[in-house]
Amino acid sequence: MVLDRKTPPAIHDAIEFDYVLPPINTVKLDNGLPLYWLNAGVQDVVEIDWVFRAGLWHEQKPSVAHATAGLLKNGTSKYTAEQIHESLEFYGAQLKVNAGNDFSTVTLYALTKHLPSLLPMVYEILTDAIFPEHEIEIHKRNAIQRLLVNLRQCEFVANQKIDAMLFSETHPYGRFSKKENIEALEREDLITFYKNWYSLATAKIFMAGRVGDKEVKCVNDFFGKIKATPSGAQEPNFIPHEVIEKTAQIVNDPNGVQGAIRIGRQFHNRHHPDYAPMVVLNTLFGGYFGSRLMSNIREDKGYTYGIYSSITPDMHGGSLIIHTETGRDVTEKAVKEIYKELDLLRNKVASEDELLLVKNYLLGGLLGDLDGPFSILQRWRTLILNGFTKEHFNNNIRIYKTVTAEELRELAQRYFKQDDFCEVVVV
Amino acid sequence: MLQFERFTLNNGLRVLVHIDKATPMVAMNILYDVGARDEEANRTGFAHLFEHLMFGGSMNIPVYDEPLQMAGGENNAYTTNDITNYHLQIPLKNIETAFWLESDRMLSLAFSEKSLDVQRKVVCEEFKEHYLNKPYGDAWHLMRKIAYKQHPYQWPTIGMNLEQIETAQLDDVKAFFYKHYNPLNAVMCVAGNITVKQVKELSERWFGNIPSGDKYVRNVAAEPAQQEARTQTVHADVPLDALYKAWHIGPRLTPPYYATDLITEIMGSGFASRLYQRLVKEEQLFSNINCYHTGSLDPGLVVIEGKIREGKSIEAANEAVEAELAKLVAGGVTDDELQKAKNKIEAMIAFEDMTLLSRANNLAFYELMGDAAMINKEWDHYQSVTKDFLRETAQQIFRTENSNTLFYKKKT
Repeated sequence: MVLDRKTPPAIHDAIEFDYVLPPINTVKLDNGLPLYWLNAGVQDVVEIDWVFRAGLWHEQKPSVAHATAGLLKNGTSKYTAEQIHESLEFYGAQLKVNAGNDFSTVTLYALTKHLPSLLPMVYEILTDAIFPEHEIEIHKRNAIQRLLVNLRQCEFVANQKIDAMLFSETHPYGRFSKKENIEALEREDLITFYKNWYSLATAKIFMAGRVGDKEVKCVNDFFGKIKATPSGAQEPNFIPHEVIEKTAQIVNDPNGVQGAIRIGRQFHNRHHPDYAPMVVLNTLFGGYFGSRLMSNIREDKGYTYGIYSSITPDMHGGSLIIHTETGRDVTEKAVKEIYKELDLLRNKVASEDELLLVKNYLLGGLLGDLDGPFSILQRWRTLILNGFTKEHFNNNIRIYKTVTAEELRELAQRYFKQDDFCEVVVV
Repeated sequence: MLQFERFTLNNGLRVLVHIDKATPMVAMNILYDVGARDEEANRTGFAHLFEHLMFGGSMNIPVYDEPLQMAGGENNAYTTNDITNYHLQIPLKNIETAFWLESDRMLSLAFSEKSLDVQRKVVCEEFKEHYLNKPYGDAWHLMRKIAYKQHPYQWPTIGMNLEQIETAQLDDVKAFFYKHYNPLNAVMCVAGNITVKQVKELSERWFGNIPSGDKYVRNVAAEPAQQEARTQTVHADVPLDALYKAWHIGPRLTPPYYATDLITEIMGSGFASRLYQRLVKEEQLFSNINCYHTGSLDPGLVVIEGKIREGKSIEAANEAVEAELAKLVAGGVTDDELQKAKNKIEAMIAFEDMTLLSRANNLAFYELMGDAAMINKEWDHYQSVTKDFLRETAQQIFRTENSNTLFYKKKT
């Protein structure tokens, strides 16, 4: 029999599959701290996250959250920075501290067998960081030098600018580090921020990997004994801002060969009913390699190496931003095409075939995501930090599977109006 | 320990099967034995440009991505100086789609003018984005040229310049395909909750009747041993001076390679590493510094690179690096340092093995090097490196006449 290479083999649509989020265990440590954990995977590895409400949202002065994260591991009253790093790196472990808009997260990656050797030092860092003056000086200088290099890049400048336009620089989501902010940092700022917001009493701990009761006990031994009392710091409040500046053209590198384009708008957080269907619309529009934007602007016109649209959901709002770097001589044409694609989605219902493809792609990827311990943990972390349960996950799956092309068009009519977008071009 | 089975089709295609019963996905990895080192000096960047064209439609399938995405799959590819690797992941139930797509593009491409025309532009934008429109973006173009005089590692995978990409013709594309893309020059690994029998059947059906083609015989110029130190200084519009240093090392799969890997861990990976501790924290000559090696199949380079702290002299910084290396060569490392480096490697191997795709990719890569089973011996090779051997390796590498230095200075 001659092999038919022209007809695709029959497929099972991913929208027909079941998507089961493997369960997570919730325990209370002896002192009442919550630990969420799950056992998955075959490698002898573990990830533990300590999540603090210590984001840019909480900083009393610009750049403090990032500096605190950057210096957390650089000294306690018992250990120097070198001793701390040495004791973590000796076991091949990684301890990362990341300051985000709403949270700061301390993440440990390690071989499970080394957990008892590592947790004492993590405990030291989380309860007794002292931010030595000379470490702060080095950190400030190197952070400024990094910033100077980054500022030469159009894409970096464009990212800063679009956030500032969407949220304003007085809002934590629109604020960005300037040289003078870093220079103005003082030890007292970091200590206050650490005391107020890196409080174990309000932390959430997440653990996944090849772990069981033994590891849960280990976490309890080191983090369940301390009497955790809340710092009493009040959650700040910021008022959403009216967009004033709609477009910006910045010349950053007169001899550059490319321009960076950012076109974005504010968008809801995960709690809004339009969020889940928007994930589908955004995927179709600019969220994957076969998207409208990529097909047109890269695969048909060759203006760019890549173009994407992404939704960033924060706790108090969020954004939807289209981002690309194109040849300097075609930035205008690319901008025009982006608006054309937005219009098209408002005016014309997507075909059933295209929608099915997007859903299958989205759900197929999700199936792979529900596979590894760390990606399962990440889903749970998002749910728990937002106060959701498994039902929210199941509901989103239902929406991904059933949203119609007409509903997506209505969504586009609501959210894809050119007038609602801000536009930045940096060359 | 990664389990696998393997068989070879009549046309010479090597197939590996890795069984993982826990996952609902299947990973397929196809590695072609061609990289930038196989390019002509006047057609650099071609292996990578070609990788882009592999998505522009094949003989019987007008577009590659759409049917894969419709089947819930995701894919990507990359080119290095040594190899070109294509990988995808798809729900197990749709495994046949993967065989259908990959076999058709191994059989023959569509060779469309439109695809070539667009991808030339796309790759030029990639070139600009990563190498031209970025401070220090051209440093590796320069560094490779300093360190390699004969071997094709003297150019990066993106290519020597834009012109060579802009002028690529369809005839070049065809010739490249027939020379390198055939069953004899490929290794495939399929991983997931599958059986060997199933993979055999599918492989026979979809790949079995692809003509073998000719085995490509690699004939690249060996790099002659370097005889004297090389130094170059450039000035560019950057905010800080930067120092790049490189030394030639031994080939993959030899004992010095493992020792070198451990040396880079001790010298320049992490905040507790020697170079970071001494030169960023104590002497404060650098604002950041890294030590790594290029990991190539033919003899590669060990590299130290860092940005000089504003106000400090790049010459003094260079001397300080040399002094640290002299200390390493004279005194070797401590037991603790060696143990730390080994612990890091052990953790790295475990984390790498977490994803199905990475396991499939690694198995294919080791098979290409000669035998997939070697992957399970890697940890032993690291384990057996002693302090003495590490020091001997350091002595061998960090000789003045083996050194290449690029002073990348800001324009004043």
